[in-house]
Amino acid sequence: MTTRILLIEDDQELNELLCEFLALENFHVDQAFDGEQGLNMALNGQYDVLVLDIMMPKMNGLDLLKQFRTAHKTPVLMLTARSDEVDRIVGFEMGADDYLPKPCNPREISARIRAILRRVEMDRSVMEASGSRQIITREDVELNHNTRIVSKQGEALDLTSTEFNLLASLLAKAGQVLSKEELTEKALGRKLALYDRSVDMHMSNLRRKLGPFLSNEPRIKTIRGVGYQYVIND
Amino acid sequence: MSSTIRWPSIFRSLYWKIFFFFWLTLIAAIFSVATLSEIIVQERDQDQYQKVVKLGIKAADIFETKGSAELTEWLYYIHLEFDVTGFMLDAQRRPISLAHLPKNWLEFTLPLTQHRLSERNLKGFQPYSISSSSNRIYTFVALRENSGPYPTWLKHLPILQIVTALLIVALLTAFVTWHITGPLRKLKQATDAFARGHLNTRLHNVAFRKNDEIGEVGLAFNHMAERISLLVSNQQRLFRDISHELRTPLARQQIALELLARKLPDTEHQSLNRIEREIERMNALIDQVLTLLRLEQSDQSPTTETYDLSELLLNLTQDAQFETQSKHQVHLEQPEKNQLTGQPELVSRAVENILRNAIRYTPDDGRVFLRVTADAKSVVIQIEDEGEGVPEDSLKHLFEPFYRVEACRNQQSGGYGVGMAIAEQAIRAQSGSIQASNRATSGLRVIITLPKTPTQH
Repeated sequence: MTTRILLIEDDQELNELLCEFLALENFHVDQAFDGEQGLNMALNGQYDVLVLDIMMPKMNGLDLLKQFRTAHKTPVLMLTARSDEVDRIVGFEMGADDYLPKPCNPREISARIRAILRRVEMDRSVMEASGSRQIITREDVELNHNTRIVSKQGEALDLTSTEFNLLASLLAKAGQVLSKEELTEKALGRKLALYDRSVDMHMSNLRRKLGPFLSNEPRIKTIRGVGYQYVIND
Repeated sequence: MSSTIRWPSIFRSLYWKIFFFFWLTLIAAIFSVATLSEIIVQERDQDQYQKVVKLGIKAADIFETKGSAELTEWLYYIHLEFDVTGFMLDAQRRPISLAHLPKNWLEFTLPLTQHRLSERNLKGFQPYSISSSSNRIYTFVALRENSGPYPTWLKHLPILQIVTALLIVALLTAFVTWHITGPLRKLKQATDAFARGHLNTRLHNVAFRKNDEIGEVGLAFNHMAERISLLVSNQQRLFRDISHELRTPLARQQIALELLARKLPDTEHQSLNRIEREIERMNALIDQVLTLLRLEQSDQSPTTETYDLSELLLNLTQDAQFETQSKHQVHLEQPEKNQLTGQPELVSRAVENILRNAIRYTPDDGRVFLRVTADAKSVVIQIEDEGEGVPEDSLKHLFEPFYRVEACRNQQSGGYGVGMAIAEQAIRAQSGSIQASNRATSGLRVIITLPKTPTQH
């Protein structure tokens, strides 16, 4: 079964070129040329991955993502203008799974798409695997692999799929320190790149949503130069 | 000073203001000193008058009680003792004493006119109307001189005059100096701020002084500032638009190249890789230019956060070392924890750019040092390499975009490009400072000073 991708990019020529390239990479690509068309196609079609440009006429990528996320969990790879940190942070908050600065090497795009697909596959296999790990409970936090829902004190938290994966990895090894490399591979499904702060950004979103312990101690500690640790609170 | 007063146009010019001011000061000083002298002389006359009248009453009393001979005696006495020379006339204006009768005494037998009584400043014999204890009227005619003794407090009259003159000159001069230098100081502050890069600096409240020379300078400054910031922002916009426009074809080119690579045999891939590298390079350069432009323009107050500089620098050092795959070690010395408030991305970008340069210009057996010291208010980050350093006259240009050091530096290394300029802008955006100097041994030293909490400008 071929992977279906929806490419939402307003630059006609770039869209055509990317489409041709991704087809060579054995993806099935549908094209949308503005935000509204993109959102309609995304809501009505069955896609495995959305590749989404931010700067677009009619409806920009961030608004599209916001509306799309209210109903769907389909992974989204966001294309941001290079060096625009703000777009990236906002994008992650809206629930983008990964981002790529534009312009970029097209091989990088296909690599990221594959990484996302690998991770989704991994999630599925974890879910179908051992029943004992389906629900992890630690103090007041409960993480359910079946429903992919995290609740704190009985209240469901609104986590993106990357944030869920990060928390799952941390909770599975609570008290241990997980390196950024490991977390990147587990949560984003790819290798850690240079100056890659994706994990840090997802982590700061996760921290904010999760909040500290009742004692006001942070739940997730940054271990400088190494990685992150979910603290066991005795 | 007030805007409600409409001065005649001639007085609005600074030239005439200063001109008239000096005249005013001079006239005020002369007038006040003259007035002071006048008051003092009158005071003395008053004293003299009182004294003479008192002696006249006494003389009248002596005549009534002891007779003419005693009176003559008394008049001689007061001449010696009080330096008052006079003679007495009775109510019918006949002389009643023999002492000091002048040749023209008959004049004083005429009725006293109001005119004569009021003329206090007259010299020579003057009549004083006296009424004795028994209310009989006499005329005491006393010799009047203008050089009587001064009251004791008047001994310092010259000093008093000088002090008064100085005080008036000092006050008026202080006023006019303030009037001129106040706006000049404001102009200097504005110019300094403008030079530091606050291109939206303007002089306010120049309107009400628009008719004098200082007001004109202020307006000229505002016009200049307006023009320069317009030119700068136009240039920046042009730069930004070009950069953005270059990106689109580059992005398409990159994909087209990849498609081409799939169609060509492997033997051609070396050239394709070369093209790809050049595209990457152009992309990187465009990024840097855009970053620099954004930093230069960012006038809006940034969102700050508290972060640990030590953690940031540790990650940065590891990344930089990993990227360059360098044999040379980066020696990092810093406090265990170092909390700062500001924009960590900017600090990270600045240090990263400088660190990369330092690594690039250090030979393989050389070392790179990154030292951090902190006190209560600020943090000093010092980055040193063991490269060849930079010629002294190039140091001050190091932070200019695309500046290339002429001598010694390896041409292939591509110069400093925009990296150092970005570093400077990033540090300046957080009210910090950045300086470059050569080490005593060989190598470049860059010192970044950052306030722990940046001041909002």
